[in-house]
Order: sequence, then C-alpha cells, then structure tokens
Amino acid sequence: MVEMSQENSPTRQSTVRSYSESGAKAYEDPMNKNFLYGEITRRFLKQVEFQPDDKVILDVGCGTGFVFDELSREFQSRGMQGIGIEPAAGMLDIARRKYAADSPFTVFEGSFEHIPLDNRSVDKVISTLALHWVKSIEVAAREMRRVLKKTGGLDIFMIAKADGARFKKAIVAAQRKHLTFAQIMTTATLVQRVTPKECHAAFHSFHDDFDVRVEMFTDVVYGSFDDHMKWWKARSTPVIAEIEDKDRFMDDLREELEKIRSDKGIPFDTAYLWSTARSKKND
Amino acid sequence: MIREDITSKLKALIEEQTESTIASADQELDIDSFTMMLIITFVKEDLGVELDMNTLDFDAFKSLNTFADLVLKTEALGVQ
Repeated sequence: MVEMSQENSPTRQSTVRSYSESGAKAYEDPMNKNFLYGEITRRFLKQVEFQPDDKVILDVGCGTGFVFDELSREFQSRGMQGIGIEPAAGMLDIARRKYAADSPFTVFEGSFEHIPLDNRSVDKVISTLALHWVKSIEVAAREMRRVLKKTGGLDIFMIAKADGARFKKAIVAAQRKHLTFAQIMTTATLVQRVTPKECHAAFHSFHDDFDVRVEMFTDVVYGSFDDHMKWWKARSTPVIAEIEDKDRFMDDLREELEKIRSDKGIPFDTAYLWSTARSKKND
Repeated sequence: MIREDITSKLKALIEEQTESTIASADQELDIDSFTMMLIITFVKEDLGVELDMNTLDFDAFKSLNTFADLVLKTEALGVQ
C-alpha cells in the first residue's frame, strides 16, 4: 500500500484546524445536518450498539458534538459518560458551550494521534466522518487501541476512497480553470482515501485482541446544484480557499456538475466505511 | 531505468487502486487526482525520481506510456 508521505501532505494538520474553525458554524447549519452527510451519520448512529458494561464512550473528532446530541437520551438512560476529543478550537468552543457542567458530556482538545486519556480507560470508541482527516490511519488506530479497554469495542464511520467519484471529477474539471496542477494535488490529498482492505490493514494493532471488520456502504444522493452547494461549501473550505475568483469558479462548477445531471438531479455517489472492532476476550 | 519496468509497476499500482484492468500501456487512464498523487509519491519513493510539481500537468497521466515518458525524461535530465 502506498501511503501519502507527510512531506506530500504538509497542510493536512493545519487544514483540519483552520478548516474546522472557519467551518464550525456551518457544521451547525440544519442544511448540513439534514442533507447527505448528516443524514447518513444518523443512520450509522442508529446501528451502533452499546454493551451493558459500557460506561465511558469516546468520540474522536467530535466536532461540535453531533454524536452526543443525537445519542443524548441513550447516554442518559444507560448512565454513560461521553468524552469528546477535537483539535479545532472553533468546534471545541461550540461543543463546550453546549454542554453544561452537569451534562454527561465533556470535550477536550486532542486528536487521533494524541488522545489525552489514560491507557485502557475507554469502553467504546466512536468516530464519525473524521478519521479520513488523519495523516496516518495506522498511527491513529494505535492511539485508539491504547486508550481502549481489552474488553472494549470500536465503531468508526468514515468516507471511503470511492466517495463522490463523479462529483469530484466535476470539481477537478472546474478547478483546472482556476488552479495549477500543484494546487489541485494539494487539495486532493487533504483527506485519506482508502479501500476497505487498506483500512482493515491499517488497524493491524487491533488484530491480536479484537475481531476487526470493515464494510463499505454505497448510495446515490440526488439534489440540485444549490442543494449540493449548501453542504459542499461547508465541508470544502480548503478546496475553495486557494481560488481567487470564487464567483466564476462556482459558475464553472455549476457547468461541470450539470453535465452529470440525470432526471433525478445531480448525483453524489456516497461510499462509506464502517469499521468495527469487537473484543475477543470476555473478561 | 527501463520503460517496461516503469509501466509494469505503475500498472500494478493503478490497477490495485482503481480495481480495474489496464489492457495496454497506451490505454487512456481514468484516474482521480488522489491516485495521481499516489503515483507521484510512488515514483519518488520507489523509483527515485522526483517530478517537478510546478511543470507537471494532467496530460502526463493520459496513459502509462505518457507517464513513463515523463519519468524517463526527468531521469535523463537528472532532476532528482
């Protein structure tokens, strides 16, 4: 497996921070929460199962607290404590304001590479639409393994390599009118793009003690140009940031996306990976 | 470096990444920008040829042969 070297992706860490800060408010926008990624994340969360002994649940890359918001009742009824880890100050500010001192939720600054928790202190690790931002999934997996109890579990939801294939082609076609090859390549490597097999291999630190499974789910979401732009702009700040004439870029992007329109609308081919780790031990 | 060596290694990489088959070295490639970046990284780390991102263009990725042309040209110029 060829891994993008850090040298070739120098902006990823800072991008996550700046992108998340500038996009923090956009994440809270109902349009972002209710269309495409928000809707699919809800579907994922409905299928996450908790064990009776689960008390401490860690959400890595918690953003503004979407997971805790969605599972609030379940946390309270099961008496579970939620700990969120997030590298972006803008996201953290919103999450911290949201959860009062008597809330079961606490958020800390941290990242997949540096989780500020003790070894084997967590019953379950959850993450939604965040793991693809890391420089190395392997390094992130090792850190999650460190904080997870031997009897714990893990449910990670992230975008797959094939996510948005046709849509992204249109974006690159529009980008080519505004950016250099090098600039486009920089935006292309902002996130990890892995297949189920590559993701499974990256979780090798789990393999001795956990059964690891990675499944891919696909769907096609149709919408108008304006529908798609509401979520895409919120999620693609670093892609747009380098472009000088943003109005003209949006016109070009509209033109390119209209080329792939069907009678149902402009398609976005979603592809997601759901990685699970279940303990082989029952002690 | 031998052209066939470059094209066969790139063929294997692209076929694995795209889960498709490349019938010939002149076949038009259909790869995304992420795969292009993987190829650039592969050429640097495994073949020892560092391509100039400022002069590189999408046209170089038209086929295995067009990309091999670029790698051989870069190697000949000693831009490593």
